[in-house]
Amino acid sequence: MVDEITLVEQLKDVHTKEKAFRVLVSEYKERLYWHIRKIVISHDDTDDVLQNTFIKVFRGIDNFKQDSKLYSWMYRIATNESITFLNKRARERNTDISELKQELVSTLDSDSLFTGNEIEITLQKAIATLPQKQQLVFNMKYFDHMKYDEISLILETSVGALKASYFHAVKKIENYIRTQIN
Amino acid sequence: MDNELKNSEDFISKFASEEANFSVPSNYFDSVEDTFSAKLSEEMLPNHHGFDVSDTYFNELEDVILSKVSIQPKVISLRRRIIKMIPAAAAASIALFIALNFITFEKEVTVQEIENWFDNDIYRISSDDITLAFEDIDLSDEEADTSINIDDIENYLENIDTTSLLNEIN
Repeated sequence: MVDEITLVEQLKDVHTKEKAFRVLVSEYKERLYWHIRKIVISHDDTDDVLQNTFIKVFRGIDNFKQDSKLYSWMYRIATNESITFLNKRARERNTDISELKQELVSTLDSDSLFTGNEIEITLQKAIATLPQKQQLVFNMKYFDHMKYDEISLILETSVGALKASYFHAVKKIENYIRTQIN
Repeated sequence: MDNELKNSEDFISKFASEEANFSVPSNYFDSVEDTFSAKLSEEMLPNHHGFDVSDTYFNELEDVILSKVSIQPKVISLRRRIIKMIPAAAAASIALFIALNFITFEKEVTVQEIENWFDNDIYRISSDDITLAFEDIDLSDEEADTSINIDDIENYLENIDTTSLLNEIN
């Protein structure tokens, strides 16, 4: 893997852009896919959002100022694209994003690309009850094991606020699961 | 034994203070309870999200995305481009012909010209000035002084035969 500064330089050079972009996609496709998938739930929607994310990265790389890390910048684009996608889908269905999310997770048990068991479905349903920001923080911290510093750069939120969000998210999820079990 | 321990502690304290000189991030202890509580809650949750993907999905992804952002320049034949431009060129020629022959372009008045006009009192135009400017038009004093009543104008417009108006225009 070439270092990030070199890769960005190659991405900004019209002669090396396409080759460097292939390297970039290869390096980040899986991480970004799983990040998006946990937000938009369905594989097909994730595929659309992932492609849009990379297209935006490709077209916007000349404006990337390198005052943040490339992967933070791409995660930010992926996050924004995912939420924009959900909002758009919610508008089409005359509903709001939280109701849409509940609908999406309610179909997980019939999704052939969801192999989770009953408790994993319950966990996804619990996550869907959280405010959008808490969902993001929980997914990034709990499943992706990202550090608060990294999440802070991506979500442009202070570490203190992220810790509070995560605490509230975990507590709500615990309560949800306890209610479901009893 | 106690004395021995005390002596050793005294010996060590001569070299370094009892402060360990470690520090923690600001507000660290404010969130310790929450962090610990969240850890306990996490333990009852499954480790995996349960989402899956087909085995070949990631293998083809680079090609799919690159096909959408390819920067290959489009090749358009010169012949096709010329053929495309013919209608536009014809329309432009006609517009230019009409403009040159039927539209008279008046000189744009500059702010400086208007200022000069006012400074020199040129706007106070007398009937003599008008007569001098339009030598070829026969201006009768009678016609200029005639004032027409509004009722007469309305009467005229209501009763006039439109055919005669059209004839006058033609």
